[in-house]
Amino acid sequence: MYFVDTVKLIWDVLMRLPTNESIKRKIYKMEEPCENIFDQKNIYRMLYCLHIAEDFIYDREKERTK
Amino acid sequence: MYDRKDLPLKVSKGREYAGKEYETVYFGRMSEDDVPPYRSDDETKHSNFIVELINVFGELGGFDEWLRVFTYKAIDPKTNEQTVLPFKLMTIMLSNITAIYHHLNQDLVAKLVPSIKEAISLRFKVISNRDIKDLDKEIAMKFLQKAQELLCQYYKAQEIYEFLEVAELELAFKFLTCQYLEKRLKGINEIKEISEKIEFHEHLARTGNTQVLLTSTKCTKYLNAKLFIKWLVDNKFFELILGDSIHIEIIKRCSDILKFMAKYETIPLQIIDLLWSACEGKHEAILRALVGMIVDISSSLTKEGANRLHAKILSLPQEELNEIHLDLIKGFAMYTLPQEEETISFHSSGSTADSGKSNYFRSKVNNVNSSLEGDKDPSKEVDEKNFFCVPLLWNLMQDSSHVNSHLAEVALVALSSILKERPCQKLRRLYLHKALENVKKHESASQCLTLIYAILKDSYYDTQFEYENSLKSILKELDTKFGLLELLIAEIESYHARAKKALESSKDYNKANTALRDTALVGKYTYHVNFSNHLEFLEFLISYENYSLDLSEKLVERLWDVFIVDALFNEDQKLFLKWISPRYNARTGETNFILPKNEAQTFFINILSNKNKLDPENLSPEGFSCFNSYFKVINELEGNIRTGKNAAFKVLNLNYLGKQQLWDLFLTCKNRETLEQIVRLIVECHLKLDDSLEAQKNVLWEELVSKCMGYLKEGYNNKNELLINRGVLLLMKFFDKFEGKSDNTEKKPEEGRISSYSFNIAVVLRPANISKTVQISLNQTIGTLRRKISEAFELNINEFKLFGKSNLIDREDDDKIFHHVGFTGPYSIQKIQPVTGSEGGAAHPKNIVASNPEYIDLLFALLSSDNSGMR
Repeated sequence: MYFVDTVKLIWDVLMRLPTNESIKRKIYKMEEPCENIFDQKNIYRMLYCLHIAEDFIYDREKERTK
Repeated sequence: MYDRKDLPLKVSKGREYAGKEYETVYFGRMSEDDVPPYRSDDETKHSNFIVELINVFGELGGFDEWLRVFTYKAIDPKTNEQTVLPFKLMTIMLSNITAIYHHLNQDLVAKLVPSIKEAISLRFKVISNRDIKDLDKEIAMKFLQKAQELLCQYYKAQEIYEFLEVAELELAFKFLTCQYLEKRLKGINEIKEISEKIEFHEHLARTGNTQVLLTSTKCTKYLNAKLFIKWLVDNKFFELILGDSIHIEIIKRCSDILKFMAKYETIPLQIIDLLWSACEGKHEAILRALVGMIVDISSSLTKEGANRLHAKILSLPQEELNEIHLDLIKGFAMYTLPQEEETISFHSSGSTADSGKSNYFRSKVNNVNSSLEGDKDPSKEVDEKNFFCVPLLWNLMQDSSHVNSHLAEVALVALSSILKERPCQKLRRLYLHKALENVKKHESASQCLTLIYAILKDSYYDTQFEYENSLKSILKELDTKFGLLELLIAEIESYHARAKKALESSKDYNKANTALRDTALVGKYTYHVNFSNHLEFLEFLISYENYSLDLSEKLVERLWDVFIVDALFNEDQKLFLKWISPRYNARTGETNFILPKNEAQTFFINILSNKNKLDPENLSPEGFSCFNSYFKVINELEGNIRTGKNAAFKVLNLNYLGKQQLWDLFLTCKNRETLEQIVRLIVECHLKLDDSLEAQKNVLWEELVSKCMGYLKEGYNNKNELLINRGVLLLMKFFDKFEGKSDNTEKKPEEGRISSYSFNIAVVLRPANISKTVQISLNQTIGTLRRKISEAFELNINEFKLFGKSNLIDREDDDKIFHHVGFTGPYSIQKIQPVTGSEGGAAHPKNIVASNPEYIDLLFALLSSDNSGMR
């Protein structure tokens, strides 16, 4: 494992970036199996996807009209 | 006519005592020239009555009795001292006689007055100690006044002035010799006052103003300087003052009398001996007063007197010297400097007291400045023997002297101030040579450099012209003879080697132990003082405009080796790096360079970019600060960057010098604080671009992002956490700066105070004229305003240009605090037209990363990787 600081730094970078459109599209369309989209093998990727899903739940109308 | 029969009482028998020699209507005797005054009948009667009473008084034996009482003297059986009438009583009795004096017959006056005079004289001679204790000086003076009033009517005035002025002096001396301090002070004050009156007397006599001399009460009539000085010597005045009953207050008042003596005659050698022996064994306050007195009279001494005093000063063992002695040495040296000819004539014409006799220091014709300086041997130009105590001060400031470092410093300061004096023109040149000889031999170099610096800075004229007193000429002369820079750097190396040796034997030594810098490792001065003196003097030499003394590459390297490569303390490195860096002078708005500009690039390449000279791994913030300043200097000289106000800069050419070195430092430096500075400079080099580089911006930013992600990838592949950290750090700083986030996170107090004041700022998008409002606090930065505008208009921060009052607000102003800008709008923005082939939004570094699936996958890979054993 990396030192906690390094992990936090990388996660911070990720959080500062605009949402990755490719991943967002996958979640919104849900054309693939859930296990593939929310990959449990990579806990950080899953967490990232859950963030996108959360945004979608709270602001569904806006996202649909995009 | 007066008819005795008219009187109610028959009193006198005749006119044996009064009224015999004049008509009573005249109301007393007159001189030959006097015209009889008019008297009324009543006055005449009154006068007749007085004459009658005087005669009766005389016939009854009154005058005999009066005289018996007035001249009374007896021996006190207890003390065996002679006793006479009190002054007060005698004053009253004198008043009585004075009042009727004009009525008295001549034969009576001839009998009375000499006896009165004798009694007065006796009265002053027999003042006992007991008398003195109770005697009021004012009463005694009043008595003298009354006596003068009476006696002057009988005797010649000159005879009485002599009698009374001597009596006054005797009285003052009596006071001075008594055991009561209060009276002694009155005595010395009285003598001082008399000396002042004599000075006025001398002045009037000299100017021929006899009328004032006869009538003024501010001058003596009889006593003159010669008589007074004789009186002082005869009465052993100074022996008394400086004897066993010496007192500081009396010494203070005595100084003027001694100066009086020196002014009108010479100070005898015995008095110099006396003064000197009086200093022995005295406590500080008295010693200071005596030293002050000696210094005061120094300028008035004869050659013999000065030689005598000089010999005594030289006889003092160095081990026993203290600060008071140093005051004496300095004062004596200063006041016995040979004077110049014009000064002599001025003194002589201003004082006739000097015209009869010329003391050594005023009359000595100084020819030491007569010849021009040049190639001549300075020791042949001037004779040190003419300057008392100056060689002594020189010896005292040396490391080899037996005084402590404080006294050596006092001697140095004293010598510096003496050499600044005009009569020392030749001497200071000699001492410059002597001091440099010392530096050459590495003896007492620190103090010698201080002395040289003080002389050069304060005693020579800063001018581009060459003449004997110009700094340019003397520097040229010294440089030709000694090779100043080589000499100084050799001394720095020598001191460094000796200090190193001394530190090796110290068990407390380590480079971080700054306390050791404040100890004297070599010689009398601390390491810190030596360090500062060396660099301060070096800077003085190389920064002087009118004489070019430039540090060559080789000399710089030698300095670098001493202070950086082989530094004895970390603090040395910090201070030296700060010293050698170009410094912005806020007052002049100019940058001062230690190194010549044409040497800067060589220095940057051979020293700052050389791993053997500047350790990149352990690079300190000061080290990078130096690197940064030279990076900017050399690139500006090459036209690669442009520096503006507040030392902000813009990149003009992307192939700037030192780019590779900068990246090398970024990858190797372990110091966190330094790393932050390195990252800041790298980001600045990518963001602060000139408009001419507009087309290359996006490519440049993509390259930077790519480089950062490359470090992450390499770190991931090679399990190198340090590399990953560096990549993230740079990327985040790039994002921050791109978005206008300021490094100014800390609020200054005054900014905190006004933080609650917020403004609604109107912003207009041109040319569409779309208006929006953003809110900003006074203590926020322009960068924050830019960010808020970008949010309000949904534009990336680099997609628009911001204008205030139609002036472009550059990105380099983003760190400025809003209230310092002082403009509350409206602001306007203009969209920047995207460069052909690139999408405006994609130019944001965040988008570059976010839109690249490889980068996103890499970030997730980094987060989830199992990197056991990885650091």
